[in-house]
Amino acid sequence: MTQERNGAGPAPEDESDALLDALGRGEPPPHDDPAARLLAALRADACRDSGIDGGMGHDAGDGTSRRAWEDGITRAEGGGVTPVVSGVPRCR
Amino acid sequence: MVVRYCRARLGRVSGQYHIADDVAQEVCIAVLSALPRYRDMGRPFASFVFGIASHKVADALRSSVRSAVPTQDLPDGPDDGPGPEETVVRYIEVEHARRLLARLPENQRELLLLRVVSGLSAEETGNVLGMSPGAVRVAQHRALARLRQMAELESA
Repeated sequence: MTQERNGAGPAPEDESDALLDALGRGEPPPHDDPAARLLAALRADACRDSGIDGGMGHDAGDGTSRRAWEDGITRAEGGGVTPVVSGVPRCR
Repeated sequence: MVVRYCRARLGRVSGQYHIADDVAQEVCIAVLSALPRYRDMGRPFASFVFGIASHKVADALRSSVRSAVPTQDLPDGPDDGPGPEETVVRYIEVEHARRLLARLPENQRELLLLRVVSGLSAEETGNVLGMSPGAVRVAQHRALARLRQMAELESA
């Protein structure tokens, strides 16, 4: 949804949109953008210590994990068998 | 995505994500319980899930009591995690991010977390927050600009 502005490049809103899309995929932030670095750090921290695929720079940038999730929903809605990811119950 | 969202919204307590992870578990149970009543209205399934997550997080924030969290036995073995220096640097950076995000209006903060931490698209985020994709793009640009301004002011 990039809108070119008479040869002036993409609109600032589109640049922000593309940046947030990239950060949401776990891609590394631009070095010269402090806000992007902070958001990326927050995302990486939320992924840490959990076995969640999605740390900064290590995410399934191709959307693999997300597609698997959505495919699972599609299969469930179609009445098929949906594999469930197993996990070790946390004991406290 | 739900775990990341809950962790970003609720943060760590006593250095751990126990409470956020428990809330994420509650969200999953609530989603499963609500599934029989779910009707496809043409909106992404994620908006259904994050609508529930948003309410669960709000409930948790209202009833949060910052108290000691019981843990298993003390760890006894090699720790292959990051060293103390790296841990502290990460902690400072994340706390800095939380502090700046807390100064944003709630809808802008929620928007950025859904977009970056949960990895939702602008359209999906709009469905969760009841905004059009165009309104999301404008609001997220403003939120990012404001966050950038605050970060630059603090580092100056």
